Amino acid sequence: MDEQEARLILQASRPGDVDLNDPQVAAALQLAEQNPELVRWRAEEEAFDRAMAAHLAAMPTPFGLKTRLLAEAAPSPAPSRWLRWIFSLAGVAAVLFLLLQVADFWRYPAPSEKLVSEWSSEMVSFIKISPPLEMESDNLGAIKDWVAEKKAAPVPADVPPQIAALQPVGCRVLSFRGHEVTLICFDRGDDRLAHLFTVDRAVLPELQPGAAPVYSSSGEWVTASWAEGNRAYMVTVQGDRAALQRFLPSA
Amino acid sequence: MASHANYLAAPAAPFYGQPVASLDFEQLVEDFYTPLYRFALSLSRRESDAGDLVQQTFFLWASKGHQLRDTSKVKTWLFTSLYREFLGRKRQQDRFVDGENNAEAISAQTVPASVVNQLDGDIVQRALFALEEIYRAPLALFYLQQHSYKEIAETLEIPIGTVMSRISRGKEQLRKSLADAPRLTTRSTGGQLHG
Repeated sequence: MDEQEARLILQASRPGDVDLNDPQVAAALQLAEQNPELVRWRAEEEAFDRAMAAHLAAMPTPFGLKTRLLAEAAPSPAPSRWLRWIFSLAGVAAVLFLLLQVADFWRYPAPSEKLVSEWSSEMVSFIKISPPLEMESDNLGAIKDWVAEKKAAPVPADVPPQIAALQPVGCRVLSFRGHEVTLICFDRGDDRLAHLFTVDRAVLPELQPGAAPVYSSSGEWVTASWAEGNRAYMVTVQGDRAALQRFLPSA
Repeated sequence: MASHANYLAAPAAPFYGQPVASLDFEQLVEDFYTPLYRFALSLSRRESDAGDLVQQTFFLWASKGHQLRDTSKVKTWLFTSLYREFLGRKRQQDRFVDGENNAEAISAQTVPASVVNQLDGDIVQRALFALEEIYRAPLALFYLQQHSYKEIAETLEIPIGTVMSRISRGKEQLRKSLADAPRLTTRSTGGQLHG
């Protein structure tokens, strides 16, 4: 564990001794105690956390909320035996209806216009916090192998040639709506990166193979999402659309 | 009747194996409605929405809570249910603030803890509300002080490493927002923060 990791862990541990039983917190504290700068930083961090927690604890709850909850959300008394029997039948009918609806949904998936927008927005938000890479390598094949073997996450099958021509930096596996997303970062030069995200296409049914990429922007970041085979991809770079388009499959 | 400490305790809770169905609903509400409301308010930034989210969470508990087998998971179940409900509603509504703009508007200054202590609670609350949602949710759970980072990961259904980086980054944004508190207050009176 290095100093940066220790800071990250200690920042997520609660003030006081409540998390001391956590081995990671204990190890981070042990490291921190050997470093006067970390001791000072930790003291200031804890004081800030205590002040924030005190403010949050002072948020008033609306008058009558508890009464409302007890009155409106409380479980109903148990129904009689014949009522339970009727409810059971109704339940079976409801389940059958639901199954039919689900089957229909999978046959004719409804377009989710906002999902691609949420996907690009969340992935860019993640990039903005500059997360550490889980695996670093300048070999795309090694990165793909690591993702497949260590993470069982989606591996990009069709990396656009202009992206593949860049030098990889490393990768990380993220999550979107409970589905794993593989992020591979490439060096564009001048300390700038291009990020390639890969997820199962079923997660983003709006993206259809052969269709034009869906563009979006968030601050200085521009993104393009598209589908190919059983994968959906997104490339994001800092710059304008022209800078982005040279990395797309059709470029 | 289960006590407050039972839900919040670490894995050594003495009543492991007690059927969830035997938990007293009124006690459950007593123990959790306040932290759930504060979490809901941090997410939705509207008192009426926060109240509705808490009510819906307990309604879900009343109808589905019996399916939970592990009593120690009650707290996580409630907070996760509330968070999922919030996300579901958020997808259907388009009245939330563009958090990214708020994040970009904050200054590069920082603020020491001694200053936070002296700040008006309303300013601190607004600074928290102004954070991007991906930081606001884990930070709110963190400052409720009932959740370890592992429980936050479980509740928000994201990896532990993501929780840590979001808490770290969220605190950084929060400090900067608080350093810029007067401007934040001015903007909020214009109704921009609450959309």
